[in-house]
Formats: sequence, structure tokens, C-alpha cells
Amino acid sequence: MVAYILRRVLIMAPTMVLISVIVFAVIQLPPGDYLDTLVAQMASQGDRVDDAQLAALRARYGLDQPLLVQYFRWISGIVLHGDFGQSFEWNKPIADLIMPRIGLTLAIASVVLFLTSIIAIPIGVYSAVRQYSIGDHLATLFGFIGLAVPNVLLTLGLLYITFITFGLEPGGLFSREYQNAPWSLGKVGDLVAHLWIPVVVLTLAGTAEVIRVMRATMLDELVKPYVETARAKGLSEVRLITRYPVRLALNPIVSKLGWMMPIILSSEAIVSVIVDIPTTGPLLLRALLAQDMYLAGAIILMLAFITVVGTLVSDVLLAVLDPRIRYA
Amino acid sequence: MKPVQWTTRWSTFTFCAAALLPFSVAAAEYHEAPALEAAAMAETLPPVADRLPLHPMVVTPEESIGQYGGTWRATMFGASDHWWLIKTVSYEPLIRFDAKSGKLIPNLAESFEANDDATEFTFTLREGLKWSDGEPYTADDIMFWFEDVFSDPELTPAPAKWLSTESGPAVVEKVDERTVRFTFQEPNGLFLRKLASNSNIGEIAPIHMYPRHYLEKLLPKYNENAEAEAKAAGASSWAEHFGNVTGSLSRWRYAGMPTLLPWVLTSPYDDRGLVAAERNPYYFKVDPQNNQLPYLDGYEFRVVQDAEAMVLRALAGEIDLQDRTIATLKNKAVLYDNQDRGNYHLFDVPTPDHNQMIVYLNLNHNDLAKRELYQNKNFRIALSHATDRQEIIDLVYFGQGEPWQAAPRRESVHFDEEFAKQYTEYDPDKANALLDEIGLTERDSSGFRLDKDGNRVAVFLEVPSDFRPDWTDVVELMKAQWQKVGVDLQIRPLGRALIRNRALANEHDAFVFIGNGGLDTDLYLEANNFFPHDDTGYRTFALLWSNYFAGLEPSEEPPASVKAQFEARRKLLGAADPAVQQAAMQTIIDGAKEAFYTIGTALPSPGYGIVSNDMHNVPGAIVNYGPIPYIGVVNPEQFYKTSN
Repeated sequence: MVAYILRRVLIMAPTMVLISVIVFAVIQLPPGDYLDTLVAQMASQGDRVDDAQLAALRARYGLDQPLLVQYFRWISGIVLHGDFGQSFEWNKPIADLIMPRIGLTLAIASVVLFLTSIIAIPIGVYSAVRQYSIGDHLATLFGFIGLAVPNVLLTLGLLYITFITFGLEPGGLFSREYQNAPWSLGKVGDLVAHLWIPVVVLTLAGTAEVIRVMRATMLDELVKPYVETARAKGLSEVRLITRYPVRLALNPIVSKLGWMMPIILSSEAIVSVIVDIPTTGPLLLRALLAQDMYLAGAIILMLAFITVVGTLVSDVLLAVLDPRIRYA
Repeated sequence: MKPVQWTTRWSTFTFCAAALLPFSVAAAEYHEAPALEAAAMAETLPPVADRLPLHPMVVTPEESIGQYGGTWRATMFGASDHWWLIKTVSYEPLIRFDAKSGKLIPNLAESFEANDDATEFTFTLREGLKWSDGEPYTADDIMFWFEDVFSDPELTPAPAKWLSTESGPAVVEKVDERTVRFTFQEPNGLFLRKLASNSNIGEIAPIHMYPRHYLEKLLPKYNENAEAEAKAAGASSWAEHFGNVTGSLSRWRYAGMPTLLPWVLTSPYDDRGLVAAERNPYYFKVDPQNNQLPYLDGYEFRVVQDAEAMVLRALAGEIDLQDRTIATLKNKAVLYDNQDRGNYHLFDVPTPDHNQMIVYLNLNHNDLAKRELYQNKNFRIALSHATDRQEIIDLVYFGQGEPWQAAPRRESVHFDEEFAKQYTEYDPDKANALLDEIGLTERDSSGFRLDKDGNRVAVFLEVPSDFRPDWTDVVELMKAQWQKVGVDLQIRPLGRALIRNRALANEHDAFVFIGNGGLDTDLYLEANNFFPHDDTGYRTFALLWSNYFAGLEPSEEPPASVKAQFEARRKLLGAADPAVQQAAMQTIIDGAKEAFYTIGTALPSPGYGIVSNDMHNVPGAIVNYGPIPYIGVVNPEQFYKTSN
């Protein structure tokens, strides 16, 4: 088991190196750089930057260097000093920008993951055991609506409904009075009142898939002879289902865990943009649009790291759950 | 120095203002906001009379004398919406535009004058002006900007164009504690206009925004630890740190710098999402009853990431005054319908633009056959007649606007009905006849015309994919319209930055952009829609001729008609007298009418904004002059609120 985990951890290192190269290359793909974006913004406001000034700025930011040099500067800063560099657009160290957001992002993602699991897994089991019952159809319908309606639409719909019915202040993480206030019970309450929309949207979007996977594997398992045997031996129905088929059916769900996190994180971006929640999503979107490449690179790298760690966790969990995997 | 007639006019104005002042000083009972009064009583703040300059600037309110209190709430969009701040709460230059008269009037400077040939400009500051921390604002602050920022090659690698003429940058000298003189070696006729606009921004902040006592410590010249302190602040060098703290955009990311603006930043524009400011106790303006301005306690602009969130805030009554980003044609219906619910009403924001979208064919095309075709005026006329502008207006602009060429608006002194309307009628027959006449008679199997080499006549039109979504719809309509006369319009959606780079490398075929310069205020600053000189890269429709004018390479000698326009532009730049400037501009406009360089579409109808019913002294119409901070011009310091 230890060797298994060790092997998995060792594989992570080259994976991250490879990811960093790809990330850097992809961010550089669009033509132009941050300064081009800046000039375009200025021009649209009837303003301009002189070309000589631009050249000086380009040199200051190191944007005039060859790509390879830029990459090694960037990655060596991160690896050797833990320094992600400066954000061009915010004129701030990148770590200062990301750190306050990454906690909130992970918190939302974890809550969503937790809610998805406790809602979807029992429903999946239920719809398999009571296949084609009214409950099964309802669960399927409900799940598919969540899957089929785009998150954007769902979010806007919920915002609109809360606005029309409760007259609540739309969007943002805090109401005006709590925005710059120190933490208090009221502020926590205010936070929860603002966070429920993204959580509901993301949970709804994720449940359908888990329900369907759970239902399908359960249906495979339920007809197997060992279930028949257990039933013949007089095991109670509840105990039988939870002890044997559910345990096996959880396998695909657990191996999905590792990449459910990135899925949640990327769909979180669009929802957070709409309801105006300061997670990493909107920051990343903006950084990409403005070609603020070190900031974008740092966020993507961090999300990739979370994915890699998530995969590791799900590998370990699988190994715990299923002895066959440990020795494979 | 003999002041020319127009400066005398300014001088007369200042003289009058000064003449009135002894009365107000005699009455000198200045009033102030309750909070400041309390602070002054408690002696944590000097009394108001000591905080104001000797002759405060008197601002006449739009409608009525206001009351103190209230916060201006609005929203900003994303990470790079500094322009909202720059155009609203940041307009306190040495001299300013007067929205009512359209003239330049004193502001920080009490008086100013120019010599005859527009080479020397002298400014006298108000006596007793103070920064928001109480330190005096004097000629030394301007000299600090000149000697330590503008003249330092590390901080200013290239002097801004508006501060330079052919032989080099301006020289600034201190005449006395309150007086500075700018000297240029050649005439700089637009200097005063640029000083009063924000087209002077670039990466360098306006020259009146450098508090010497605060910024000195950032420079190694005055502080040997400057480099180490800059590194500790996360910058790579003192120069970068200084650039961050003072840069025209990045300055908004920091609070703490003393200012001359009505409100002092308390919560900067960083990733926390709320930009807020409180009143400047040393602000130098009063209303006619000697109440120190501003009336409003401060502003709170929330930063949102999505434009829809702005609309929801407006409907919830969370916006007191805003037009930027929110006031699109698409949102107009919903904002109009919910005026009662959100307790606001709409106001007009007339635009100075003369065109929704202009098509620029590359008159100096790299391909010589194409260059000849695009330089043929009849070809451009044919395309103009092939364009059904009414269809574009009806389908894309909700029926608002009228067909218009790239010509000055009705409100301009240079308005010319014939120029504005020439070749705008939709007439495919005429277009076809003209194209046949040029010799493009052969057609291919798809019905498109062929040129004399047998190639299909195609225009590759570059359209910014990241700027104006309406343009995508316009060019799609145009494609179908031009197809009817056998011209193949190929749409190329590209990023704005890329289009610019291609234009400056002369690699483009044709592109579209805004028709700015429709009103005199912005026309004089940027006339690049009317003659082939442009260094922005957004209206470069004849790079080689433009380079010829600017003395750059590669260039090509333009035809005599273009040279006449260049001559007029030089005359305009070299004159201080507005009458001479106007005559020169008329020559340029007449030349543009005759040459018909570009193809216009529609005259834009006024934009709009929303203003809370509790917010007062906001004019019913605020013209959005491109380079001039339009809301700043109408004096936000005299806005006031009757609730919260």
C-alpha cells in the first residue's frame, strides 16, 4: 500500500512539469500581449500610449525576451522562491491576489461535492432498487433538468426570482454594510445568504451524472448471483444493499472524484462571474482576456495541482475500498 | 509677452472672477460639512477659511444650492474600468473645459496666457491651494513633476507627444512660487486643449497629480533606501514602484496619496471589489453662498464582473448616477420600464461621434493592383451606394440614427449637409453602373466581379471581435448588400490589438472603427478621420502618406490634395488663435469631403444614463466628449442627494 502511494506521488512531479509547460504555451498562443490589450483599452477611450513608452514597458515586464527565457524566469521564481510574480493588470504580487480567493473557491467546491454526494448517491441507489417507479422517474427528471439547463440560465433565473420575490440585493459576496466590516455572526449570515445560489446551481448540475452512474452500476450489481445468495441467506434488504452492491457501485463514483473537482471549479467560474463572487474563476477569466499571463498561469497551475492531488486522493480511496486495485 | 485676442478673453474672465471675490472674502463666512465643522471645533482640523485658498473657485450649481451628505453609488465593470473614475471623479486639471461655453477656463490655475505663436504658456496657481493632507500645492510640485519625473529617462522613457514639438520636449521653468512657464521650441497650438482633456494621459499621470512631499521618498535621489523599499513593496525596482504608485491607471490601486480632487480614495480599486472615497477637507471650490464643496460625503463604486449584475443593481435602486457599461441599447427597455421601481430616471448622453461604424479601405495597399482599385474614388462611391444604411439602422440600431458619412455632426461649426449625406442613398443600380464604368465588368460563376487579372473583387474586412458587438451584425448585413453588386465582402473577426498591429505594418486590406471627431471639442484633438494621418493604428487607412506627414519610413509622397490637408494641419498646430485654427480645420474638412476617403454608415443617436431621483444638480444631458472627462466636466462636486 505504501509503495502504491509512493509510486503515485512520484508520478505527480513530471505531470506538474508537463502541465506547467503546456499552461505557459497555451497562454502565449493568442497574438499580442498584455501591453497590446492596454493600448487597445486606452485607444477606445480616446487615449494613447507612445510607442517608445510601450517599448520601455515591454522591457520592464520582460515581454521582449524569447519565450523560453520568459518560461524559465517564471517557473524558477515559483519553484525556487515560491514567487508567482507580479500581475500586470493589478500591479500586485500574484500570491496576494490568489490566496484570499483560493480558500473561498475550495470551500464552495467542497460544499458542492459534499452535497452532490449525499443527495445523488442515495437517490441513485433508490432509483436502481425501485426501477421505473414514480420516484425513479421523478429523480431522473429532476436530475436531467439540472444537467440540461445551462448554469448561466439557472443562475440568472434564481437571481431574478430572489430579486422579484424577496427584493434581495443582487450579487456580491457581502451586502454593502458588511463589505469592509470585520467578521461577525451577522457577516457570516450575510455570506451564506449570498453563497446559496452558486451552491444550488453547481449541485444541481452535478447530481444528474452521479445519479445515473450510481443507478446503472447498481442495476448491474443487483442481478448478480451474490445478491441472490445473500437474500437467500436471509439478510435484511437494507443491510444487503448497503453492504454489498452499494460498495461495489461506489467504485466508479470514487474514481470520478479526482476529476469532479476541476469540473466544479470550471463551471464555478461562470456562475461566480454572474453572481459576482470573488473566487478564482472570475479572476482567471479576466486575466485571460487581459493577457495578464503570469496571473492566468498561476491560477491554471494551481487548479491543475488541485486536480492532480484530487486524482491521488481518489486513487488512494479506491485502493482502500477495493483490495484488487492495490496490487494491480 | 503679448496675449492674443482669445487669451485676453480668458484673462477677462479671470479678472471678473477675481473682481467678484473681494465681496465674498469680505463676507468670508465659509460654511462646511457638519463632520468637518466638528473636526475644526475639536481642533483636529484647521478652520475652513484656512483650508480654502485665498480665492476659492466659485462653482455655480446646475439647479440649486445643495445640502451636505450622501454617497454616490455606482458600479464598475471588472478589473480595468479605471475610465469610469477618470471620467467622473478625477477632473481637476490646471485649466478645464467649461461645459456650457465650450471654452477653457481656469481651475487650479487662477489665470493662464499664451503668446502669439503658441510657444510660451504661463500659468499662475491660486494662492493657498492645499493637498488633501494640508500641505501647500505650489509651483514646486509642478517642478518636481518636470525635473524628477518628466526629465528622468528611466521614469519617462519617451516624452509624451503632446508635450513635445519637433525639436524636443517642453521646458518648464518656475517663475515664482505660484507661477510656471512652459516653453516649446515650435508652436504647439493644441497644448491648452490637451492640458484640459485626458488625451494627455498615456501611462503618465496628468502633471498636477504629483505631490512632491509624498513622492520624493520613492526616488533614490531623495531617499537612499528607495530601491529596497520598492522591493519590499513587491516591485522589481524603484522605477517600477514609482510607476505603479503614480501611473494614470495603476494609481487607483493604492490609497494614501494626497490629492486635489473633491474626494480622497479610502478603499482603492483592487480585487476587494469596492472603490470608495470620502470628502477632501481641503478642496478648493465653494458654491456662490460660500459653502465649501463637495456636497456629497463620498462615493462607493462596487466592482462587478458581469454587466447583468449592474442592471439588477439599478433596478434595486442601488445606483445613483451611471451610464458607463450599463446604458446599452439592449438594456434601454428594461431600464426605462423599471424607473419607478428603482427610483431613478434617464438622462441623455449625446455622443460626439459622427458615425456608428466607418469602413476604411487601405489606400496604400501593399498589393499595387488593390491600391489602385481602392484609390479609385468611384469604387468607394459605388460601395457607398451599395450599402443600405436604413436597413442597418432599422435592424441593428433599433431605428435610431440616420444615414451619415464620416462627416462632422450638425452641432459642429464645420457641419456640411452635403458632405454628411453624399453618396448615402441606397442605389444598387448606380453602384453597378459605376463598377462597370471602372472596368470590373467580368463576373465569375457565383456572380462576383473579376478584376483585370481575373481575380474576384473581394474586400477582406477586419472587424474587432472584442469591442463592439453591433459591428458584427452591421458587417453581416453589408456582406449581403455588397454581394448584390458583385463585390465579395469577406469578414475577418480579429482582436483589436491585432488589427492595430496589422494596420501599423500595412498588412491589412480594410477594417472598421468608430467615427470619432464629430464635435469640435474632440475634432481638433484628433482629426484623423478627415485626413490620412493617424498614429493610433485604429484609423490608419493610408500608412505611407501618414508616415510622410510624420517624417517616418516607409513613406510615399501623397497627391497634392492630401498635401494641402497636411499643410492645413501644420498651420492649425502652429497657431494659438482659434480663428486661424478654425479656418485651417475647414480646409481639412473640405479636403475630406472632396477626397471621400472612407465609407460611413449611420449617425449615432444620443446615449443615456440613469440618475437617481434623489440625486440633484445633474444636467439633463451630458455630452460624452471622447477625450474629455464628460461627467467630470459637469462638476460632480456640486451634485447632492436628498436621502441617505
